[in-house]
Amino acid sequence: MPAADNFRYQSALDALNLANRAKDHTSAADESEGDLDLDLDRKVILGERPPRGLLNLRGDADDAKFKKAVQTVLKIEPITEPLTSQSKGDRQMLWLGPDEWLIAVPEEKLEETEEALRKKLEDLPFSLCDISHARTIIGIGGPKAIDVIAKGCPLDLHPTEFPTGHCAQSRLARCNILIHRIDDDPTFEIHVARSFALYAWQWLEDGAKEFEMQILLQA
Amino acid sequence: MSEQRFRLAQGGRIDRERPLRFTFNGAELTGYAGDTLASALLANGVRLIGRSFKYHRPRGIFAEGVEEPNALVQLGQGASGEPNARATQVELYEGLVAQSQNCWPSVDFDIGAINNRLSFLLPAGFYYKTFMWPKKWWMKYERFIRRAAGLGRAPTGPDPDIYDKRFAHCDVLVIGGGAAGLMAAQAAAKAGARVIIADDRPEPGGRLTGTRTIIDEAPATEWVDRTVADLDDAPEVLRLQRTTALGYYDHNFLTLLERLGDHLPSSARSGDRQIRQRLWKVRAKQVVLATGAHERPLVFRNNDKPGVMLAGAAQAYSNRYAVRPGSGAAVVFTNNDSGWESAIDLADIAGMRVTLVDVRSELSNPRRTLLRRHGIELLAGHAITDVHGNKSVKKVSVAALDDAASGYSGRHRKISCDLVCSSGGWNPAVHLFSQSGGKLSFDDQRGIFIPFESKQPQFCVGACSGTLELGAAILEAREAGKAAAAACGFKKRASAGALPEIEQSEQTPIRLLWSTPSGSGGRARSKHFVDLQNDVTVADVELAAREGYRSVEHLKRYTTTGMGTDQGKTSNVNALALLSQTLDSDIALTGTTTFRPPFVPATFGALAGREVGALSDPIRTTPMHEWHVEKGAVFEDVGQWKRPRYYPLADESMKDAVDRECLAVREAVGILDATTLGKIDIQGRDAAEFLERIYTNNWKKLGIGRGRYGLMCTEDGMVFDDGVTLRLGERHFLMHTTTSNAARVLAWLEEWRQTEWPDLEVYFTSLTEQLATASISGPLARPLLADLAPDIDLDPKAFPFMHWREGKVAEIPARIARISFTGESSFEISTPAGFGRSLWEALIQQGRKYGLTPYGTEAMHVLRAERGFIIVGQETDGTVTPIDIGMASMVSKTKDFIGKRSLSRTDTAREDRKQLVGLLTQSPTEVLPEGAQIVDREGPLPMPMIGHVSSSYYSANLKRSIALALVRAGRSRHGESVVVPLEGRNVSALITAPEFLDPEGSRARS
Repeated sequence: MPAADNFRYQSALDALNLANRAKDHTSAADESEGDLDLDLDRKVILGERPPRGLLNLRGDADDAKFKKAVQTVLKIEPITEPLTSQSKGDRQMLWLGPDEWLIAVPEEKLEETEEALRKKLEDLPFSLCDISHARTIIGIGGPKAIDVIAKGCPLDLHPTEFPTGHCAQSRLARCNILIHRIDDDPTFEIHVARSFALYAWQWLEDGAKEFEMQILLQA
Repeated sequence: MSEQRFRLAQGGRIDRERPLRFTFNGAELTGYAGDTLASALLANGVRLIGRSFKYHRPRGIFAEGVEEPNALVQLGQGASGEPNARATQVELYEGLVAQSQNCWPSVDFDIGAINNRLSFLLPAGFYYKTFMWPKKWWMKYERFIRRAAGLGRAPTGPDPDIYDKRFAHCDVLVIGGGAAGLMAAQAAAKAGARVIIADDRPEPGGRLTGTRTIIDEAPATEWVDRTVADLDDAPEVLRLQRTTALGYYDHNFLTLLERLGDHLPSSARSGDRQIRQRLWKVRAKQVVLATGAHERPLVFRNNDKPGVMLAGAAQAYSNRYAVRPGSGAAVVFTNNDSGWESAIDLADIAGMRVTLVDVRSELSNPRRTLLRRHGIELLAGHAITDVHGNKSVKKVSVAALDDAASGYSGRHRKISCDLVCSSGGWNPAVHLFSQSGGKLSFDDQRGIFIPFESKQPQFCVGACSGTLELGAAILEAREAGKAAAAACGFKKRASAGALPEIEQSEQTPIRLLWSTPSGSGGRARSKHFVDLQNDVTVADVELAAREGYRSVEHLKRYTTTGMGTDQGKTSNVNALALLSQTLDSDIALTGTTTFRPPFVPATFGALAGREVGALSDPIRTTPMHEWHVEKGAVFEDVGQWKRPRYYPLADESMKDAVDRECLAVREAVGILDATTLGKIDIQGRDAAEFLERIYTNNWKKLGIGRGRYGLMCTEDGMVFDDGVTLRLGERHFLMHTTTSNAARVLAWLEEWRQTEWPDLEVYFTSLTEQLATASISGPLARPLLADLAPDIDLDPKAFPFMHWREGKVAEIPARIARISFTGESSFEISTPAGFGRSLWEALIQQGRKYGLTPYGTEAMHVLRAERGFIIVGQETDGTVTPIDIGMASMVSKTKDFIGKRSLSRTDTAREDRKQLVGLLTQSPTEVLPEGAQIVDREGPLPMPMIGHVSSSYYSANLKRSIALALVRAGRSRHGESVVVPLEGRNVSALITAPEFLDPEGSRARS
């Protein structure tokens, strides 16, 4: 839902004032330019990812009509390969379970996508929910990103086991997460329920302390 | 500062350029980088380290590694102090402070040593036998026993160190960085497998760094360096030093403890980056155990005195640390070849005068010549009969053993020496293998337990599989490394390289001797120590056997052998061999005690990791949380949520604040953050049918745009959760659950659909996190909302109670539901969570002119209690049915639902069950404690209890206290008096209907 003028979207991480901290980090990095103190192999980048339209879709992947309906709207068929994701244009689909998917679209396209899906799926078994505000997405990247995540997440995130595009629902310390590897750097997006976002962030930041941590506005 | 008198002039793996200062029992000493506390103490000639647990006998350093039973010290002080540190495992650092344990006033003069004189009074099972009766004296005994128990002192403050935990995965996990481990890791890595190799020492090489082994015609350490360099170059190999495997669990899951900061001086440990210890939780496809072996001591009289040491340990101190473990003369007592190797190194490297006492008499001439070449005197077929000296060894007595090793022949001879080394063979370190579920078999010839049958994908190589000979161990390890990689799919025929060349030497079989004979015919071997840490002697084992403790598990618990910080690493096999000897049974049949994690003591800090302080548990907050904080709210934990309990103004007490909030809701309007309530979206053709089966009441006919209160039960008919569910569409509902049950209810719904009713077309999605909810409640709620939602017709006729509408509130998209938990006219306004704070602030701003008052959970509890509304988990406790709480009208007679059948059981259908009632105390100011028991009338004890108080508050609106209670047959007892016995007084109260205010519920509907 796009924000109108007199009210605004508030991130669950607002209290952390990440924008200021990111600025500090950037200027500190500028000052130390040429300074070889920063060990690039030990770098971890943390940041909040921009909000996006998120739809939780449930239905029967074996139902040809369901498949076709989803394909028509998103140009992506319901994914049946576990733990994978697919992208088409500005749309993205993540496998969550045999009958459950997460659809991500730009915020401004959320309503139209939701309506289009609802219309096509009308007579079929399905469920569609807007969960855009239910999640906070934390980006974590850099050579030591996996070492930080591994402190709380039992998954094997080695590139041979969890290549770019893979996603999985798991846990980070004591909260549930959806983790999605988005590039080879590697960068991961960690989706965490909004009320757990502060905890998850603080936990990651604490875990990154032993490395060279940097906060970026949009990691 | 003393010089290191016992340091050899050259050699060792210490860094002589880096001297380190440390303190032991107040004495300032120096050692070198690369020392352990044990080696540094020996280098300084410190022999007396501590006192034994039971008899307070003087004890010194006995071993060189993880198996050390004696040399336990108190490290550091205060919050970072650590008891029971094994001196052999503590790496020396600048400024280390250590102290002896279990002695007072000092290790040199210890009053507790009186126990040694009284040892005949303290046999095995002493405590069990002595403190049996009289029973009521136990409280007195316990205080005494508690004081006697334990060795060190627990740290006194919060642990200042940082600990970490992490998960890791690999194809092949190798435990042990000795010759076999390195070889296996190299072979697996060459095949392309992801390998983790963990080694508990600061540097790799295992026993190779403690001996003068030759590999490829050069010192073995050169081969170690080459192999390690090779591993470190491999991209997928992680080598962890200072890392001990603690536990081996199912599915090849192992825990490793990495010590990252323990060897650093305290100045380098501070700051928020230096981690002290890290617990690794590793899942491996294949495991190679190369855990080596622990040398087993020989058991002889007074074999516990400072200066008595394992032969391999004395050898390692000479080679690895360039320390002479004694001043001049040493006696090495052995029954196998490795004692020879130790004797030779003590003579050659440490320059000691060595006498080798070997229980074997048949030794070949070339071997005898070998010893002579090294200037070692051999006493073949002999044994040590006694050790003399008080706080350190002065002399030993030796004599020839008779053929059956049951007595001595010939003269006893005394030899002066201050070092006595013993080797009884090497026990494979099968601890992890055994933890993993593997079965052991007993090798009668060598007297050792060896891995026999694996339960998990694993290999045992080298000494831990009984392959004690180096060449064979390396070959076995290489094959295992290759096979482990192949099992993970790495079948690459990589050149594994030539096998290292190892010289073979002549071998003489071991002659098993579990204890030397007592000497003078049948005297109890009460100074022949089997377990040094727990002061268990041969006599204790024999006594236990005589008293009927035939199982090794019973022996362990009765004598305490194998307990304590070392878990009997040097004593277990000897103890159970002696037990079977006494019982005249087979060792294989006697079996071993169970090996359990952890392999070595672990800090609680490492097990807790980062989950301490603010990160010990998630704190869940709503989008409005910061506002509550700014307004000074006092919070309450509801599950993991922080909810405002009340909002005190200036000097208000809790009661003042709650009273004010309660009055505001009834008289004007209040606002509550209701975001934490569980919300579950339910969609599908069969959604209504599904709700029919889950809830006790009817759902099919609920119109779109309406909501209904529902109760759900578990199969046993007991109330499980409640809340209002809205019908959003023909096939679409939104269920509200209680805050703390949200996740449980979702799992409950999914379970029933997936396992019992897969035919129903219905899906669930949690929306708890998607929506923020502000509930405004009170007579002025409607005009307030009308100001902000001009497009919605709020007239009670157009928008009745228990209906919902969609629209904009302060321009923010919202759903409004007329649900009331306070009993007042209420509107629950939900909006996407990211707009929650904007909505809240818009309401607060507009609400000023209506006297809008934020209220917390405490006022909410009072308000709902005034109306007699239950809270699941407060009025219910898993033993309460819907009928018990007066909701029989909500239980459908016509349809089936979960729990229905249970409601007609004899017990649930009883008329005299505990039922929900109101309770009014005689004194209007008396607020009963929740949980208080209720009795019929005052009388002699015990009074039969007829119920309990479930909720109790002071109601500002009613100007008196109110309580809800569950009372036996309570519904038929309205108007009767009961008594609530409190500490020292009794309070009488009147049973009433549970609704104290507006019983018809007209206010909520208005």
